[in-house]
Amino acid sequence: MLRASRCRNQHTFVPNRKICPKCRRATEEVEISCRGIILTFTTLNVPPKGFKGPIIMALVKLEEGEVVFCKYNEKEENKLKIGAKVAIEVDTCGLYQFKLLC
Amino acid sequence: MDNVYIHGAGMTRFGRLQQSLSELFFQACEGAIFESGIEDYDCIFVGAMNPEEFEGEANLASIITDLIGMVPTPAMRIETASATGAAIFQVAAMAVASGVYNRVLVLAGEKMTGVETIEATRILAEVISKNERNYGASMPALAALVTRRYMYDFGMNSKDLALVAVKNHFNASFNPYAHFRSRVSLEKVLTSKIIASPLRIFDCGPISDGAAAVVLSNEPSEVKLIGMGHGTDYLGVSYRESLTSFTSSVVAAKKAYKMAGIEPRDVDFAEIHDAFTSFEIIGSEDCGFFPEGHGYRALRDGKTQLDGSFPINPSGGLKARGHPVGASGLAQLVEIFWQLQGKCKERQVKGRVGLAQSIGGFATNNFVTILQRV
Repeated sequence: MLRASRCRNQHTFVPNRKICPKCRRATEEVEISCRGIILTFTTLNVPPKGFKGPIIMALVKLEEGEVVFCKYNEKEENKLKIGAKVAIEVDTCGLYQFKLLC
Repeated sequence: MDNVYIHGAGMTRFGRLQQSLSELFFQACEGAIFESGIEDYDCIFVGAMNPEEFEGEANLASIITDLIGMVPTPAMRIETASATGAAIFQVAAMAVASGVYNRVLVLAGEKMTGVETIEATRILAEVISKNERNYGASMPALAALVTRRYMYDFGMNSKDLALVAVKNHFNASFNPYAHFRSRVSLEKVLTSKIIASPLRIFDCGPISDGAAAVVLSNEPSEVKLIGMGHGTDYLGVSYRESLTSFTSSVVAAKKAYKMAGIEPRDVDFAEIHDAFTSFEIIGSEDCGFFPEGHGYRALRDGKTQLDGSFPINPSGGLKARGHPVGASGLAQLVEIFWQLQGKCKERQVKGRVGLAQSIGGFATNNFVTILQRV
């Protein structure tokens, strides 16, 4: 499960936000499924100062509909494809990373 | 909008230049003053995205009035990331339209090559959400995410993206103000280094220096502002309604068409914010020139070439004319102004109505502006 923020209009966000950016209402913390599918991905070969490339990043749509920005801790993107099923976890730095589900 | 006219414009060449930001502003401003023949202004509107970090310069509006000998004329600065040039034009136009000012000078510029490319990439990345920056995301990374999804949804391929670069470099070869005057082959684009898959280096706009200037007045001239619109979007790309269309562009275009009282089919040519090749295609759809998913087909068919039925980026666009971030939005309008006056020689296109679409940040603050030959 992943921690997320949800307002009373059911707008849900990962990572957490105190105020809903869609309707300005306060949110409360909820737990949501960590499984989803890849919407799109990229391998960034020229990262900004302070980062070492290549960095693989993706947008993953979770089972309940939220979209999460996350990374993939492998060096090559060749196993990735749009629509692939993944599970998301939080790493030691608090960043979301995904693993492919078979 | 029926009382704001353009009286003159000026530009520096865009590219990797020796001059400081102040010197670039001075040169662009001299051009616009010369072309308009107007020496006195009620206010000076200045746009630059981040002179504080690129050049260590702050309090820019005051620097400008002092530099160009216009103290104590009022001056102010506006910033909306890479759409700053469009924003400053629209704010200046509102001041003239309201009747508060009769004659204003609009300036926009950026000096980016004074820092190393890796530092420029970091400064540019500050405009995206902090959450995404924590992962090492940059503008090319986010553009790549959007591009891959567009390719998946609509069947566009890398060759289609390359066609944007080939076309815009060709157009820029006729533009004396362009960063790149050299043409590129399809093969050269398709074998260039991958920056963020599927985007190659020729899919990305350059880091450039340059400035542009425009004189606006409520007194009639050959070219009139007829419509303008502006919209924003959520900072995080994960919050967006669509990954293949930018809501902020759609909102801005609808407002501009409504103000102008025209439809997309009434526009004859456009300058579209092609910081990345895919942005030209998406922008051409967001402004209503082609249905969603059909922008790349129009490109394939040659419709958006200089001699096509709807030319896009006759200047060479951000891709090849260059992209000094704060200046680009205003440089688009300078190109349209000169096109409508028939001053563009080999890159001249036909038409009476031209539209500029400018993207701020990762499409979080976008503008559409429409000019018409009177």
